[in-house]
Amino acid sequence: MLGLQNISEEQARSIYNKHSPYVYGIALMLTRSSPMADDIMQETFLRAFQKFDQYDPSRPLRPWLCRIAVNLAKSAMRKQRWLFFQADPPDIGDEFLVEESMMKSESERELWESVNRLSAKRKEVIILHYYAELSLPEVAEALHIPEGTCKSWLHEALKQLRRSQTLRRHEVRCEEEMQ
Amino acid sequence: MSAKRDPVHAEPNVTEQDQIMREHAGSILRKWEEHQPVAPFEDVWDRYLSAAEASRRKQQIRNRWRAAAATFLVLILLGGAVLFSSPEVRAALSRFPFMKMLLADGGVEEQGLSKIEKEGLGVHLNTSVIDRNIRFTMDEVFYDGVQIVLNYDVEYLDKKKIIGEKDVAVHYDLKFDGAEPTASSTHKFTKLNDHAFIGSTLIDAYQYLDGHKLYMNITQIGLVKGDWSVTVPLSVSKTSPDTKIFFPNQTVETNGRTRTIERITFTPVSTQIAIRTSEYREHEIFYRLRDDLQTDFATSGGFGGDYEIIGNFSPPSAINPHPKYVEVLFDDPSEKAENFIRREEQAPLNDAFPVVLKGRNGGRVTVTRVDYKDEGTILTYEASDAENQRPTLILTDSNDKEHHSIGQPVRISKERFDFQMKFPKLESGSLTQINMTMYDYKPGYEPKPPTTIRVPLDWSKP
Repeated sequence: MLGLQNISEEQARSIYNKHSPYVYGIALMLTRSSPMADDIMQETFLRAFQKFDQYDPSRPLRPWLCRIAVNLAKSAMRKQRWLFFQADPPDIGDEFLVEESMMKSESERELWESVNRLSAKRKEVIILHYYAELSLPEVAEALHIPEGTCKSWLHEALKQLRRSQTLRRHEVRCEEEMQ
Repeated sequence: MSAKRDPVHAEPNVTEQDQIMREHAGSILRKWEEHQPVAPFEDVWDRYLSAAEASRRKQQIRNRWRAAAATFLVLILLGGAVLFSSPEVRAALSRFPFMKMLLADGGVEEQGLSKIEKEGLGVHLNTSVIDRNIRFTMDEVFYDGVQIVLNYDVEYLDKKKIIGEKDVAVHYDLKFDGAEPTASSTHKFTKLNDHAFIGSTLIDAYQYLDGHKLYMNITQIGLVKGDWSVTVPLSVSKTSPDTKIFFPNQTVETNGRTRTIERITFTPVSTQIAIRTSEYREHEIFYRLRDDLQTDFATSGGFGGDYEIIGNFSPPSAINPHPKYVEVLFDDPSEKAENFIRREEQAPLNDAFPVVLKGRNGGRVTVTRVDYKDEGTILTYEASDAENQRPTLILTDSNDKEHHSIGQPVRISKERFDFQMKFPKLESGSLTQINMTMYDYKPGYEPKPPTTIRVPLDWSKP
């Protein structure tokens, strides 16, 4: 075997317990489906254990796991879209309840709704940068876009979110004045 | 001194929104930290162990088959010849045609490796280590920047011991100083006589390793544990005069994704192409490589990185060693097996030529002659078009025994798709039938043409 660093069960368990809720959360945000997020989370760790020899231990583990999860999520969603066109829409069940369970306050949910109204590209950049805590170069690498493009998408996304928030505040004020 | 502002957050509103997002994400992340994993660790670990076990079994089966084929082969090649003990054995072994033996049965594909011996491209080392009354000698190393070939021999010095199948094996691992390339290797051991065997290890290392050292750590030979580790210097000095590297940096878009041909390396025994992909670890890309005469390069393994795919191929054909361009053909990845129909063509094979076989999608393959030679049976055929240039042919002899081709067909004409295909040595006139298997498109199915990118090659530039 060449350069293979087998992962021990103890090491794998420690990594899994520490990072799996985080990976699940990222997958849930990207897919908005708890069954898909569960599958992606398990598959992410399976691949991470199999490819552990490719992980550079001098670098943080989370971005590496995140990159695996993002690609699996993108692939799963492409498949899901295909299924959507081929047959009945997928049964989405109570996925939004799961999402909402993490966002207790009204303002948190509103902001999250605004994030979900962003275009797919802008949403991906926002999720990876803020929720997955990847640096901009890491986001650019994960999405295979130049860093400049990444910055530009992030800037546009933040501006759009700002406009949504301002508009929302304006609507609330109007509603209060009318009452 | 004024602080440089991050252009992303240069506008105050955007800076404020950035802060809101950080707080929001921080709050969500804290909640995630409190969550328990949604699936138990044991579920994922069991799947990991099952996958690892399946992979190990597959490798074991492959190795067993190779060892069996090798043992069978040597009986044919040596024809009962006996090699005597040292120093005669040493002299004989150091001149042994390793590559000829390695490639003889087709277990390892001939992709140009035979040139190593024909053109003397290997570096002779003759480094020996003796432990536990067994001598291991590294005879020769070949490296061209793409593949590494190690040729070695093992002698059991206790002449009372007669070696069996279990004694014909070298257990080793490979390491490189200052490098950890992704690499794959395969080996073949061949028993020579009651006391000695030879071995060859082929390594595809997807990193340029000129000037590095390769450590072959040998912990067991046959059933005997010991230490016969050797260090092998890697140098492209013997192949570099005939190696040419192009950096086309040409991009093509297919199915909404981009592929950039970053590098093509031609060495005396292989061709390697590096393609950059737009999607992370997008490894299910189907592509072929063709020269300006539409000769397909034979594939020889590959590797997929995060945004890079590396493919190894045979060297350019001998009749067209410096093509004016090559084409990379990306096939439609959505093409499914149900779009094809398997078909077999059969025809008698005696002294009457030509023998015309109905080829793929309206084309044809015409067998023009068969030559029974000492080095093997050579079948010459003409394909009507590029799509039929590499047919799957099986020959049957008068004992109803089937014979498969050894290695890849070799193009012999620039003007026509004329090829020669090698089969095992057979008795003159013993063949009775030829079979060709192919896959046609289903009637009514219109395949998407491949997306093709043409890469000009200027061989005159240094």
